[in-house]
Amino acid sequence: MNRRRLYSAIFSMGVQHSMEYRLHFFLGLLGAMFPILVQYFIWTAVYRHSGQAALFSYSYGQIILYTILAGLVSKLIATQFEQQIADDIKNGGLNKYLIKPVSYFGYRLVSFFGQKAIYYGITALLLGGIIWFASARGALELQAIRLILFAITLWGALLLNFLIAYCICASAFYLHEISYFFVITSLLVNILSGGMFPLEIFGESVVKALQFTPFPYTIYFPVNVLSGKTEVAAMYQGLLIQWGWILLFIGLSRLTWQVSMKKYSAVGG
Amino acid sequence: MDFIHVRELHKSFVYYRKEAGLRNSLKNLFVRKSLVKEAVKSVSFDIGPGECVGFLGPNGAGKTTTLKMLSGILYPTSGEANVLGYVPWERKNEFKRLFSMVMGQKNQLWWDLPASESIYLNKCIYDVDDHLYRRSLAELSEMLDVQDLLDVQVRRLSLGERMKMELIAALIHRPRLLYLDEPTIGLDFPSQKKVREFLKYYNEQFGATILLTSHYMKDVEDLCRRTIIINEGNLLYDGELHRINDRFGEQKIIKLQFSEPVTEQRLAKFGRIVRADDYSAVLELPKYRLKEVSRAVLDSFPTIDWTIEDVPIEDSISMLYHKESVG
Amino acid sequence: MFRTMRKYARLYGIFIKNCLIAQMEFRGNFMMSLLVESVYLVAKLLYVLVVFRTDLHVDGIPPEGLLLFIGMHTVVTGFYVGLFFTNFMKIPEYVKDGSLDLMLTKPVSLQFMASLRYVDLALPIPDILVGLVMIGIGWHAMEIPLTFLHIAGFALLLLVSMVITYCLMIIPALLSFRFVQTGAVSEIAHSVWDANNFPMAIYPTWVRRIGTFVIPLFLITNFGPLFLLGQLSWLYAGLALAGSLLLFVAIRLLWQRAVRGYSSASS
Repeated sequence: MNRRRLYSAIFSMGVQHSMEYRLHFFLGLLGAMFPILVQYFIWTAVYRHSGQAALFSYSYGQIILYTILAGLVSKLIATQFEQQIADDIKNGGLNKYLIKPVSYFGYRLVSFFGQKAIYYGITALLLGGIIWFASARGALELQAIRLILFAITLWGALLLNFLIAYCICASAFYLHEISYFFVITSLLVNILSGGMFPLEIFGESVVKALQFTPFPYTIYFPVNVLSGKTEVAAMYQGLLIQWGWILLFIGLSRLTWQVSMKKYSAVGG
Repeated sequence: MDFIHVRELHKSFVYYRKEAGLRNSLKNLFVRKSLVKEAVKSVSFDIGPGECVGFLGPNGAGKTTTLKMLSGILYPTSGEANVLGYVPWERKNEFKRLFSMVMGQKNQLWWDLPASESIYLNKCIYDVDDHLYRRSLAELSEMLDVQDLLDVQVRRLSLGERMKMELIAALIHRPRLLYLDEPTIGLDFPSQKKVREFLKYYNEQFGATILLTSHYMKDVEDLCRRTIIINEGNLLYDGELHRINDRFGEQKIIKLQFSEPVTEQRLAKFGRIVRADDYSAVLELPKYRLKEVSRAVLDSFPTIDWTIEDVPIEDSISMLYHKESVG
Repeated sequence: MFRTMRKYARLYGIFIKNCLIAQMEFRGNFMMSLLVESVYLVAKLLYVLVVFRTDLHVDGIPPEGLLLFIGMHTVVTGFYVGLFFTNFMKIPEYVKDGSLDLMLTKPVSLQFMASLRYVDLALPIPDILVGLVMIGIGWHAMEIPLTFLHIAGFALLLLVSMVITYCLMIIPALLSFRFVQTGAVSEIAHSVWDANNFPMAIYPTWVRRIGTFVIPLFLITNFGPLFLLGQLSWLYAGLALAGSLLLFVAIRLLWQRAVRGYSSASS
């Protein structure tokens, strides 16, 4: 069997799946608009009141741009397969993959990218509009290299977020009631990734500490690469660290799943 | 005045057909293709107090829809009904206290609680006074032999036990009228039998009127003297179940066994051949020819055994459906 | 009238008792619900962090005063997730699987049965506790006297908030009588809900007008604190009460219409 053909079939299944839920996606975007709007008004009030040019090292334009971009990126990289994987583990759906010559990891990854392909395109269009608008208003200094690096780190973010979620999913092998657990982890991961507010609001020391975790490299880092907040040297360094985390998490996900899977087979599903 | 009085009840509803594809989905947002389904077409009947009537019919025949109209869940498109002096779909609370509805596929008991809690909730909903409540609960749980299970969580009960609890919850306010929609669906045979026996006893003991739908013939056969057969929204038959054969000119079935092979051709002139092989045959024929044919078969064939039976009711009913769709 | 009230109060008591028994069955879930709501609360508290770190004043109200608003929002959110949320999520299921049919045959109000049957006792605990603490801090810091009149007025406006919350948040569930998929609508409703986290003064005038008169969302969290700060007269409090009752009547009519549609359109 040709591997490439198999995975392109899974990919296109993912694309079709996302087409089925497109209405849900657009309404989801609409839903994501409201928190962004609320935050916009809050930040406007904050900057107007303080009268300072920069708060938490962000100018007014930068913070608004951050809010919008972080909202979009969190929506884009959001994983929704946790519950499915948990069901596969709990109800023995995993057995299908154990006896078939396809890796479960490969299947989930390719199908995830398939599902995200169209959204990536739509998000890119939206981003294009926002970037154009922001640079026209002078809130953003457009640089080709930052655009390219942003596109690359965005794919990296997608992959890294997938891997983090995939590792967390392995806990379904051990925990009984799992749906609540995923709600908690995804919200926490989003906060720590800077999906709600820029990490600076937590204070200097927290930002420093978080640099040693993978989370900022999913939302905070790509957004700041684009907005120009990250300096040139730090950009390349960050890109390296992001891929370092990706490699580490590939290893980690292999390991956790292998260990858990052994337990799964031993018990007999 | 009759207990239940139904005249030309008619129910049709509009549904939408959706075609696949994005373009059609968008189109459907603005114009939807609507189709009308006639679930019940002009049904009339009267039911007296204390009667037990079974509604028979295939899936989608309109049985449940009729029951839902008589309980006030649905409004009819046209026609009238009077149940215990009330128009059901006016949904007066006084009316709702007089009847109860049990649906085999839906449960009103709360899964994670002991059945006694859900029964108690019903007591409060129906304003049953404490004394009557205690007496009814004791009586019903004894009749169904589930006294020990009242305080067990519903999800730990078997399907049959669960249905018994549903019945207690439905009967705790001593309704004068009981609607049952497929009450034995999914139950094993002993449980089915137990539920039937209970319903029969309840009907006789308390004089409650029962209307029941089922596709299990046995439910209707055991419980109801009177049967109403519905198909495609039409009332096809209303009367005693075993008299249904009268409709078909008193046919009889004769079963024969031979010691030597007999060809089908030679049998054909005596009646309709239902089934035949070399050593046995089943014939269907009008009652008036019974004597003549019996004599002839016994004389001219090597018959070693024979029995005479009524046409099975199932066959009559399917003939009824068939006749309807042809006519 | 009095007898009916007593009957419904008694039924509601049984609902609460039943839910308590059922929830105690699964203590793990109970703890998990507590945890989930706490994490959501933490996300909300990030706003408080921003307010204090930037020393935000809205209309001259210092950060401590803003706690009155954020606290009020948190408390009402607690009541919403405790009393209404589970029910409103279940109504579309009732319509889809036909459980509504059996409820229709009961001699009690269908709206009562369908929209208030379930009470979650775990979810609201963190919200109500933390919300009350925030209100307490704000109350103290703004030197609001602790008189009976203040407490009564605030309690009345809290009641108004709950009525409006019920009316607004049940709308997605009502849509389910007509449309099959309403999950996305309630998702949007929930994200609009959090617009109340701050005093409405931070919004431009036109947003404030819509949120007060068209969809009276802002009444839910703004009127209580404004009353405490002496910026809301009794007249407005009375008007809010009248408005919320009017809204309830409107929702009641809408509900009846939806059920009538259900009864004539399904089989």
